[in-house]
Amino acid sequence: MANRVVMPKLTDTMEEGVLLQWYKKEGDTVESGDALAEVETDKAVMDLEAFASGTLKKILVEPGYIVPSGDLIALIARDDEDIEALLAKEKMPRTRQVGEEGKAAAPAEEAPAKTTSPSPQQTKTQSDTTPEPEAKPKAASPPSAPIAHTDGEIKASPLAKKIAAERQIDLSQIQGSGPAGRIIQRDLEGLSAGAIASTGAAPLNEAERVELTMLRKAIASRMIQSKAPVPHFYVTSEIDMGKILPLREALQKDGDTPRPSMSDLFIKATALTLRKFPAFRSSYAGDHLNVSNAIDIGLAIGMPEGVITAVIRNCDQKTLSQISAEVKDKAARARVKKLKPEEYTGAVFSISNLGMFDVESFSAIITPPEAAVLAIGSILEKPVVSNGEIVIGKIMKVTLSTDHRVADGLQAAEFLKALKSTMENPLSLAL
Amino acid sequence: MEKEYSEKSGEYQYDLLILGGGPGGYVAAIRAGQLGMKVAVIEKEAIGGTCLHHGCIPSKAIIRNAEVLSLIQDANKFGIQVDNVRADFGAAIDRSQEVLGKLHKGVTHLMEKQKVEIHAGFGKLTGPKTIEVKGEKETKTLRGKSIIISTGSRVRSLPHLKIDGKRILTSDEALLRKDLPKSVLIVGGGAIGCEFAYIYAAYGVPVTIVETLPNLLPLEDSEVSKLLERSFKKRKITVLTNTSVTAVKDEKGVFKIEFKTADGESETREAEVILVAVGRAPNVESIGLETLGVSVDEKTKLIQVDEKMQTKKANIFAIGDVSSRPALAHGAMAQGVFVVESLAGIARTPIELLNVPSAVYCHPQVASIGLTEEKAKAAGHSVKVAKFPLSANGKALALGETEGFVKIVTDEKYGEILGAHIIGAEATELIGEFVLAKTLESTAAELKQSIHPHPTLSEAVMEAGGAIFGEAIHS
Repeated sequence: MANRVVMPKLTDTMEEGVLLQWYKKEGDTVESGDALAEVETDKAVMDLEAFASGTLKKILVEPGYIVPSGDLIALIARDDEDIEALLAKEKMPRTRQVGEEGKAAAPAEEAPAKTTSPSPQQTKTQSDTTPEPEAKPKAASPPSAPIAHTDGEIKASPLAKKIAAERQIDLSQIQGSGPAGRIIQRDLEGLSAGAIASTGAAPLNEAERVELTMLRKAIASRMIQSKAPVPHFYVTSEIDMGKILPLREALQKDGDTPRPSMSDLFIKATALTLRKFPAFRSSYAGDHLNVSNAIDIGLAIGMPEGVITAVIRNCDQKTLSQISAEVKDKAARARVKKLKPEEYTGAVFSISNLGMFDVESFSAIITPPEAAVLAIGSILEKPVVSNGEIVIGKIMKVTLSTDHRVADGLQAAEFLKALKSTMENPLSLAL
Repeated sequence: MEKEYSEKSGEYQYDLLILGGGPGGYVAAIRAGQLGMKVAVIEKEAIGGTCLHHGCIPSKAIIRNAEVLSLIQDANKFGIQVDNVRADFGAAIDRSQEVLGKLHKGVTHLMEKQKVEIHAGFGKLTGPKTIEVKGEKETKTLRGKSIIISTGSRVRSLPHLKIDGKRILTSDEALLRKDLPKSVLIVGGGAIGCEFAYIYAAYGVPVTIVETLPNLLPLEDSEVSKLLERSFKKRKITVLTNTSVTAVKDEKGVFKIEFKTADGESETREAEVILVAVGRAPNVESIGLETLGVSVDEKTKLIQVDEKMQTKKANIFAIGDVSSRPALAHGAMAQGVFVVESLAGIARTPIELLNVPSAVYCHPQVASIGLTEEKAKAAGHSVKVAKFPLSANGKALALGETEGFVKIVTDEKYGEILGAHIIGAEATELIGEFVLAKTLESTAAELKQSIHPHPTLSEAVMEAGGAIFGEAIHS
């Protein structure tokens, strides 16, 4: 009996996939479980496995074509089996070549998929604040600009440190790709490119057609699904980072604990806050709210081709160092598209951190069905009043975007107040 | 046989098959063995490949003989009179074979230790996971999850120069030829041409070296090439650059070679032996690539790979001379380790070909890494260059080896080291400092600040770093 091989639906949001390559050719013997082909979904590149053993009798889709999920792409049968009659009855796959206008795939305006998320997309409130080093006049570059914690504790190459100094990138926010997480030139290049890409580069003089990656398409469709139907409102608050920065230094010196990044600290602080504010771990469901008890937080990971949310589960029950290690691992794998679907879907709340890019503040778009997303800016040195004196404080602006169907301004303000209090009295984070 | 054996298919099972046991292949195999993979290497000749048997190793042994001879010839400069020097060139060849024999044993032992299986015979890919091995007695098929193609390269010739192995040679034959030629003309001024020019000249053979491009070692920084040319001329080596061979006539055991210079002028020279050193061609034929869709570049004939050394077939990789240039053993070794570690799930940043150093062992030695001054400028860098002469280095003076310099090419903005170029004594050892500096992304400032033992040649590296800031002490 012949077995149908179809383009799988590997994730809830997957509507179509690109057939990248066949590992087997027609006539090859295949065993159930063998990798048949490589398929690119909206989030990842995966192997398509055979569910039956036999001979790969017919391949219907060539590499480089996009196929809707569920459509037939190949047949596995006994070697001597005649499949012509069967093929005549089958609906042929609705393919189109990568780069062709979408017409074959399932229409995108179908009901939004239930529970998964790409990630919050950022809209900056400031005009482009990401420094473009090449365009920057030399006189404006502060050669001795103080960078938080470039006290030699961060593992970074001399060249990376010099680049960071010039571009005012906070190296403590960067995940290094060198040996043992050492930050090298390559890491800074990748991140800057990603930041510039996500805010939309200046229009090209001669319009050039650039095909969207599957990830970029997924983001585009998910963001419309969010921004149009979800009534967003935004509340911004300033957090005094004066206490948490030394704590972070202390934690780092504490033996072999991985150094917590700013994102790690916010994940932990947000998790503790979310415990007290069920609304912000809810999703709107027409006539009721679904309140999640698992505090699974998504962290937006920027890449040159787009952004993906790595989900850290049960953050309220994990120690800071556990969170740190997990974020490091998932961020690294996200950048090479190696996250499993369960690792980038199903968050109840998201965090997006552009602090490393010299962004004062920005607001993020909520990823349905989540009810809120927290956007983190850079630490800025600002005059603050302390004990009646004006001193230089380290201030960070955070912006909470909330689904107005779920919560109101008062609750958002209270949520931020609680978060602020945790960050400003951060000992609870270290527990 | 203790290997897993699939009854159904009649094939052996491996994690990794490596086609070609040269430096790329054998290093990949040892690393894979260390990582617990089940590995087979298919080799048609001998483990170690060109590098060990017809290249790097024997030539370095012969060059050592030439150096000893040169030192003895120069002994009177040190007030030492040596008379009746008799140099047996055949003994140099014998010694080189002994050296490679020892290394061959060592490498084979290392592979045994890692339980790497060596299959003797000519391997051909018959499927994305299978290699058919034609041995002397039997033909068998090996099956592996991943495949590394490391078939290397072979010497190339020119249409009007038919290699006969006796009077028209490539490096393959020259490394075995025990008789010194009466005179030699070397076609090609690259690394191999320059090394043989030095060897033969040291043994008193009149040498002419012909290069079509404007410089010897055309890939090196032109200041380095220029100094090498001057030095060769001092050694009575005739250097003809911008010159191509147009015709070769054999007249009673002597070749009459006609050239055309860049100005269009013709010239004729005589030589008993012609050594052809015009580069190497990748071994991509008859190994089954065409049927598998592993694509080969039309012009260069190199197997096309991405930065992960992956071919168009996901489980097939190609490393070394068969897929990349420059054709250097250490580049292939690094690529082999990179592929194996990537397969084992170890996170690695891809091999940056610009960080693969080059080394030429003629005298003076030449070594480099990264961009030449010319290429750095062409790439749009705001280039800052500094040079430190060995004539200002105490150890070089003590050695009597003051010819040469250390040159650094940096980008002005961050002091990033874009390239380093050394000519002079022990240049091939000194370049290691720059390899490390560049790999660690050190800048000229760190070079300047690193304390070097005094007196050593290596101080020139530190001084060149200082020279970038106009702060070299001894110049």
